Amino acid sequence: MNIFKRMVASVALFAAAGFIATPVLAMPDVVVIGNSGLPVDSITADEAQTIFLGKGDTIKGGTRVTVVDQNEGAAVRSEFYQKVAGKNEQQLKAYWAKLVFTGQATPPKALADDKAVKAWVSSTSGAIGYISSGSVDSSVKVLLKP
Amino acid sequence: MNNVVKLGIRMAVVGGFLGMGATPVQALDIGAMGNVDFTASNQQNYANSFSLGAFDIYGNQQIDTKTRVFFEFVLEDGGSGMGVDLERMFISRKFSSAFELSAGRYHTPLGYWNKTYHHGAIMSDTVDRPSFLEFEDASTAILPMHIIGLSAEGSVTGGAGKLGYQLAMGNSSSLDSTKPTNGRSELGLPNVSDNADKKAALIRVVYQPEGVPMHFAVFGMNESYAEAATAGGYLAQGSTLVAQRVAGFDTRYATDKFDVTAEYFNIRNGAQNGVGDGLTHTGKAYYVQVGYKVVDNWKVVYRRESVDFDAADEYFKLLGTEKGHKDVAGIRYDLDDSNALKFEIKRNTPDSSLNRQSDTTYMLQWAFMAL
Repeated sequence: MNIFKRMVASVALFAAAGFIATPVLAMPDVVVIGNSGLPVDSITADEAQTIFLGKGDTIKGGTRVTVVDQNEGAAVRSEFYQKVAGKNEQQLKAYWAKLVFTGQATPPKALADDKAVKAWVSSTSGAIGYISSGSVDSSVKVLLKP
Repeated sequence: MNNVVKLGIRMAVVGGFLGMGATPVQALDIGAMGNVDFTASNQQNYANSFSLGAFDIYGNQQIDTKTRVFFEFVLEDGGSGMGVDLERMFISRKFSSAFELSAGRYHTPLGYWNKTYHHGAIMSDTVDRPSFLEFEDASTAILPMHIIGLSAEGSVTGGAGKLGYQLAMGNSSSLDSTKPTNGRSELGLPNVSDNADKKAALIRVVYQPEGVPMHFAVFGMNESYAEAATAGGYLAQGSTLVAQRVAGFDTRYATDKFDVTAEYFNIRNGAQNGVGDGLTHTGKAYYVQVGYKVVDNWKVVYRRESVDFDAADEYFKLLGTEKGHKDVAGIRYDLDDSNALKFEIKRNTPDSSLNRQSDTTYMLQWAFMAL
């Protein structure tokens, strides 16, 4: 096989390997969870948008809540904000930058992953967060499936 | 005490000191905003020009669960070269939703616009601020937009809505009665001293009714302007030139498609003996702005603004303020969340007593934010 044919074959082999090796990333189903002591068993999508975008800190019945975010770049975070607020990561950054700059609100604190969010929500009164549906257990209650 | 014990104590002290550092809740967020403008006008001898707007760099960090720090500095060329101003720098601690205490340099709670909009042209729908709410180094500024001191703010929510307050107290401002800036004085903000040793005090109370997208607020300020001139001024440096009381209101109704904002200022200036006629005069200023989102990213805006005062008011004479009104009509197009184009026509109509013709200015602005 001459050199040219070997090069073509090599490139084709690498390309095929890359295609096969590339995982098909599935978007996690995201759910909104709350502390088990919350006096509600569900919230609406509008309420989720309100509390996670800093527009308010109460849900129906006047219950005051504290929300927690996940770190920038987390797949579940992207899905959550796309579904609940219709915003991608860049739009979300711009949104919070404007609120922070004008002193109207500050973004919720962010934790590393589902495990950290679940631990914090389960141990904090009035806490609400979001995780992938596969991470749900009896330590928290599911309030919304956006 | 033997050397081992001494070493142990030193290590314990150092270790304790290191351990006292709070773990930041979030990383330092840095952002920048800026704008590039093109301005044309039918004013006599006006050179149509491109200009760099203020380049604003800000940082914000939640340093613990209740405390945050914020800074904002601006690079801008006011016509005599690029300069840097530390516009805002404060630390604030939120004890509860009803009480947040801040210290540093921040915007005075004089109305809605100044509390909401800072530098960063992309934040507002119009190219400029209302003329009389410009920052202290602008020729049309009539009130201090910044203060260095303490502030407290908070709100309580009930069935009828939300009631909020903002209190501020800080160094008083100054004026140089020799009018060293092109025949006028600029409002002086002392970052490191209070020359008059009389603190400025401000209050704003805001009510937001439940279920209605609007607010109504009243505000007030008690301020003294000290003589800044070291020689040749009306009074000795540090003496009070003008004692000022401001009272006003602001209101805003805003939905996704439509908004209307209005602010009114009553400005009572008591000139001291040896300053002008030594009497008290009252001026007023107001604006009304309406915005309407025609389609998704397109918004039209109109604003009427007005400044009126007694010609004998030495405060306005020192500032070189011009009575009259302005009409601003513009359109804004958001290319995306981080940059916008604005086109605006501003008609300036001086008061008839000034015997000056009206003039029209056309502005095109590309504003952006970088995150």
